[in-house]
Amino acid sequence: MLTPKEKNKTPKDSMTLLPCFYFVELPIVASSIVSLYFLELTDLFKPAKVGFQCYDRALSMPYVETSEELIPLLMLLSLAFAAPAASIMVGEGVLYCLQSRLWGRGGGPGGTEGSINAGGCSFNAFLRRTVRFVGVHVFGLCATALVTDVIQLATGYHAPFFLTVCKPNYTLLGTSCEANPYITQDICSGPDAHAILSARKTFPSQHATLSAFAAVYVSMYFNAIISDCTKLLKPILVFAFAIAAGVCGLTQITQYRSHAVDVYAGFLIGAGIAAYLACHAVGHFQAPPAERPVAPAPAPDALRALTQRGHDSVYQQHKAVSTDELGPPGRLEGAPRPTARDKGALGSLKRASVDADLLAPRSPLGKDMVTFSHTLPRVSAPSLDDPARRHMTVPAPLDASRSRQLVSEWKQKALDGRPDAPQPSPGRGPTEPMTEEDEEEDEEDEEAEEAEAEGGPAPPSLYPTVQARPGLGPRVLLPPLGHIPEEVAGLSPKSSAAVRAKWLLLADKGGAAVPAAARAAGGTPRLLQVIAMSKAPGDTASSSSASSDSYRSPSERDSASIVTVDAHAPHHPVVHLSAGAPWEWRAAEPDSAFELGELARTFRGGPRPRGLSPGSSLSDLEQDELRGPGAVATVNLATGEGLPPPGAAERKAGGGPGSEGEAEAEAYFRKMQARRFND
Amino acid sequence: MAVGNNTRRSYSIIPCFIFVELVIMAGTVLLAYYFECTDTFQVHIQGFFCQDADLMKPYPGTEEESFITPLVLYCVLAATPTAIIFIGEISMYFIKSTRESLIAQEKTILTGECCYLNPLLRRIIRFIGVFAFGLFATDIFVNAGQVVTGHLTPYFLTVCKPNYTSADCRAHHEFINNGNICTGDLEVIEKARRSFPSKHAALSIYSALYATMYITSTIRTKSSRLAKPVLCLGTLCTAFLTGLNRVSEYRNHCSDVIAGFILGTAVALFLGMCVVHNFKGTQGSPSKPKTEDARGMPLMAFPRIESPLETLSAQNHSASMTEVT
Repeated sequence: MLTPKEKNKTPKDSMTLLPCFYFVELPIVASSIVSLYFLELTDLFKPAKVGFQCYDRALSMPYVETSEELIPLLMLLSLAFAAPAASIMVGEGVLYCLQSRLWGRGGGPGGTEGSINAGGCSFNAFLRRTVRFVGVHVFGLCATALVTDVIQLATGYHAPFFLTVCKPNYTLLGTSCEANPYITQDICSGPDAHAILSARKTFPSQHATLSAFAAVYVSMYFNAIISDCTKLLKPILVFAFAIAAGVCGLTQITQYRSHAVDVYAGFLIGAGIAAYLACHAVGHFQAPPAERPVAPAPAPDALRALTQRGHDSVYQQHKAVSTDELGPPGRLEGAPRPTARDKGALGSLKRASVDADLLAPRSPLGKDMVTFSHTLPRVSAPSLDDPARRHMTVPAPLDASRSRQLVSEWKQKALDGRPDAPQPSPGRGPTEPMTEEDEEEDEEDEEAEEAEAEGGPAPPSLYPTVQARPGLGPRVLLPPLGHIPEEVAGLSPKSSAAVRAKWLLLADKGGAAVPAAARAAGGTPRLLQVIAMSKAPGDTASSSSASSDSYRSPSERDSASIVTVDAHAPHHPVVHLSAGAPWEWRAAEPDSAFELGELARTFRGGPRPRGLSPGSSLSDLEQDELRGPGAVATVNLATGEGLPPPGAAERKAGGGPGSEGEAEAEAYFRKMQARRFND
Repeated sequence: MAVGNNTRRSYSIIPCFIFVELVIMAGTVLLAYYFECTDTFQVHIQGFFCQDADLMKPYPGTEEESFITPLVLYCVLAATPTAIIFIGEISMYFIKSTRESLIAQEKTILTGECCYLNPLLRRIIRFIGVFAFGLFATDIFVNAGQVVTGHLTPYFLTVCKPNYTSADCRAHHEFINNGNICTGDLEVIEKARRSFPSKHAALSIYSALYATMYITSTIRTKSSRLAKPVLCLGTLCTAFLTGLNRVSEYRNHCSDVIAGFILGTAVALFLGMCVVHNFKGTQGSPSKPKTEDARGMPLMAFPRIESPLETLSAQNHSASMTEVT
């Protein structure tokens, strides 16, 4: 359903991205840096006291001044931070460019990471990956330095130059070195207290841990991202970093800053921390696996399009609900016609219809819709709460003559209004904005339900629709009021699936179970009516296939065979089934599913609105264009009725073979709806 | 893209080979040459203690007088894995049973219009090229370690013949940091300053381990149970003994040899596991898109499309959980 110009990959939304970053990651990094400052640059914590032997040769190495060090600590820190960070940034940049060049904007098999919208900003894959990897690297450096400092303080081993800077005054002991060679007292007489302090912190060499961490981390990064096409690029990068780290640690030995054991232990600690972080914090530098199913399939494009417009609240609200309903799809006999009605839903229904009426005339393109909605019995925004009114609005005519009349009327108007493009679909544009704004505000429940209902790997155009009118979905599923148009509205959009499900059900039950069947089939005749009507423009516009005759079947072939609905009781419409009428229609049913899809396709093929209607924003127009196949559904919108999930029709159009699945889908859908209403 | 069943057309393989692999290889060889044959990198002058017993072992003579002369060592450790890989690949290619699996693993590359790179050629070049690269890389590692540390060999004081009178060396704990008190042969002293990772140990263990990994992962003999272990353990034992020989001849400390073993082992393991992937073929590239498809398809064709909401919510749920950072 996507027009080719639509972005292949639309960003997802995330409510948690920025808060989680600000309130979890940053405090952790900041606290580790602060504690590192206290450990490293202040003498708040004293190293443990450890004795030494008189004239210990291992501790009598010359002292290399801090300024004369080959690799001072500051240089080490900046190198260990900057070199891997720069490497990761360059690597990510090259990776991003290659992916977007080879597979289009990140849509390739390798680009499994999508963009994310958060806080009004879009973070693309490059930015996210870079921030993640460099951030983990910075945190890992801090953690390594912390661990090193803590171990140094806890062990308090002496550096090789300890005796040189300490200049122990052995006469203070009172005993000779021969008598008591192990000295635990503090007998240092050296002038440089700072050097003495640093000489007592050596055990894991700071240089070794930091350099080993940086080298192993960036090596694992390169090992993960460089493909096997070049055999030698990976090893040479890895070896280069390994040599750098090794040299960095070994200079500590040659400059007598650390013992060899300290350096080797430091290598082990740094490498261990790096390996742990690379494996478990950033997942081997691969994209999170949970995102993968989303990215490659074409369908998820729509999914992301849905989320494009700040829809999080819906998800947040109803995650729980929807998970409740993960059960297998069941039959719909139990519930689908609940009697309890929602005041709110009714109100919004009413509002929606009013909106449609108010809005439609503004747009020249919406003319068909307006006229159509007027031809249908109930459009005039009656107060639905009033039972009397409701009865009044019940369209008496479900018989063939009435429907035929309607069809002809509508056809006529369609022809008048727009000879070249009688499809109602263009009219949607104008109607959308109002309904959306209006209902988004006060109908969170509805939104939620709709989100549930609409959610899923449905065809793409589903999502824009959801976006546009987030309040409308559930109303489609409301139990029959006796408003014929309303029910029609509910059914026609997903006609194929719905019809199939219902007729299958009927077939199961046979003619015997008339009441239930009648109830279940309650929508069907209306559906037929609408189909008949919607077929009309199709005929005129594109002389749609003759096979769409099957839609016409009961109502037009034989007026006596149509189902008549006696809508005295609003909640329980009594349906009189003339003998064999539905079944007759059902004979053509396997085709019908496809035919409807085809009908939708013809609609889609039709011309699109050329300009913006006054009431519609640009984005709405865009969406409208994207949502071609929703044409059938548009009819309902014109009646002011609830949102037709165009998904069904579009699924048809998109993939005919999946019709069984969609029938099931419809059944399940209904059942869930019913359950919710029962609650 | 696919020309034949097992043939793939690739125009990038030759340029990639020339401009990436060969350049890297040439750089490595050049660096190793500078380390080995020139004095571009001056060895670090390390101090020592007066009368350090660890450094006063007898001088075993020049390298050429040792039990394993450098020439023999280099020839053997370069030739053995090369020969093993060569023989193994060719026999695998000409034995029918293994040939099918080999061709299934590796595709023939058609480059240009004339040149066919069949699996035999590709595998031989790949494995031997990586082996040569590793050899030079190990040599660079060893030389870098030796130059940076400047660790003294056990016979250093014997060849140095320090003039203690010029230094203050009255007590045993006196540390002499200035290396100018040596009176011996300068060239020998220079060599005596390069010890820390033992080059013999690192190179021999690297080459032995590479050959061992090749043997274990490619040669599959059902009939002979002992041939493989004997070959593998034989090469490893030879390498081990080479290292021990260095210690027993007072040419290296024990720690140097151990460090050399660790270094060579690390390089060989990395190359064998991460670069040539245990000497298996490259099935990675074709299989990847397939798995992606398999993962993506069910979303579209899954019969239970009826539960769009659960799918959506599940996806978004997991997405919102995972997309943190």
